[in-house]
Amino acid sequence: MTEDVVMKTRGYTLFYGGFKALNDITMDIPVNSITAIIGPSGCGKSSLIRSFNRMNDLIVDSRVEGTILVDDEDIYSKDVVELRKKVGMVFQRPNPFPKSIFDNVAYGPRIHGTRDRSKLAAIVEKSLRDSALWDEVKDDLDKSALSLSGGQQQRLCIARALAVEPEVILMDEPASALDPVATLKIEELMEKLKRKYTIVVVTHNMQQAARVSDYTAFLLTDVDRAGNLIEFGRTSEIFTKPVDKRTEDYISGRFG
Amino acid sequence: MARETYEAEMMALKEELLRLSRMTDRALERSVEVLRDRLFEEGERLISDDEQVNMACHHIEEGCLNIIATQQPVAGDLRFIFATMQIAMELERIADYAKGIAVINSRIIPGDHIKPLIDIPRMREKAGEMLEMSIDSFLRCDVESARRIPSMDVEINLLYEQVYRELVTRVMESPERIADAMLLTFAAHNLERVGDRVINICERVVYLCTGDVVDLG
Repeated sequence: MTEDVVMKTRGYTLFYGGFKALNDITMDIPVNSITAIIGPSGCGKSSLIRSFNRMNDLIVDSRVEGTILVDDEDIYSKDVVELRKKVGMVFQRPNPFPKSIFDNVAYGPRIHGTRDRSKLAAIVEKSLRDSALWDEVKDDLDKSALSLSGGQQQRLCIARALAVEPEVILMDEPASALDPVATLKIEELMEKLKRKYTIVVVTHNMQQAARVSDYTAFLLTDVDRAGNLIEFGRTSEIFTKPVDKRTEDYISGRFG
Repeated sequence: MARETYEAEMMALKEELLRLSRMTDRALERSVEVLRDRLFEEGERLISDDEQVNMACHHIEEGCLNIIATQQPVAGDLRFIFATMQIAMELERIADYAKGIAVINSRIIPGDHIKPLIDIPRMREKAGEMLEMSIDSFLRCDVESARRIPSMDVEINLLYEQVYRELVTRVMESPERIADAMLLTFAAHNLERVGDRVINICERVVYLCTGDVVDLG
């Protein structure tokens, strides 16, 4: 692959205590693209995506071998707050703060030191426009974020991630708690966002992976229940001619 | 997790395609018998029987579309559905060539041909052999065989050239039968095209087995 790479894992191995959750993962995440991580339950998808902004640090006894590089910089040698500014995260269930719409989006920039109200207002507007929510909420910025619908809340969470101008946005099952229309909006939004950002998405929905992603990584557990990267490639290739029989069996619904 | 309904639907498609290929092969065989032995009534039956081939082809297409719409096939399954659809269309066209030969027979004045038919039945035999082998390679997903079969087409092309040369000579001797000679050339041309259609089938088999789009012609 000749594309520019924003994030790399090199022999990345993750342990939770004595349990090895991920084994020797080496892959490149190309910039301005959507990479989907797929695999059956318990294969380590979420562990991997959470590794990208060191959310596994919070788990007592977790330990890693190998490394992850963002812009060729080892994420473990970076300040974690800086890392998470660069690598934002959107979760499965929308989790807006119990604050106003405005304050939700302004939260990150405020933490990173922006105090000027008009600057914040500009960031909030831009982020809400980029997350395709502006037109729906522009007159209600002072309303509670919790008054929004589930799909709107999820787009608000995306706006909140965008407000600190990340390079990479991680999405862990971003549409699995949403109805089909809200799901479609998120998928369309991802397509627009990849022009400016790089997106890594974990999804259980194979058709969603096929629809939205440019690259697909397929993980599967080995006999020790550690997640291994079985195949990584262009989504169009993975879904028409996968190299590994296990990939073929999984995407065609023969197990998992 | 086994997908039993899905597997059964695809197996049924495979069987239908095998049935369609047998109908097509038989139509081709009958068409040359009709032409060689000047069997006008049998020719009429062959022409009307082509409708059954068309229906069988449409039924396979419907089955494929139905699986795409309801089962979201990917990877090898998707290639199988795509190949099946394409091969069904090739078979339908081959049956059209057979029907065309029966139509040609009805246009040539009753009685002996301008020359005895020797090479045209040979072309049919060769084409039939290629067809059978190509369908066999599909059923067994035998990519090696699918890559080899197209070389047999050379023989059909040589026979076609021979038929053409011979008819040109005969027409010089009996210019009043130029129309019949031209019609026989068309019949031979139909058989020549069958070889090309079988090559298309072989290309689909290679695609099915490897995912590679190849030109074997």
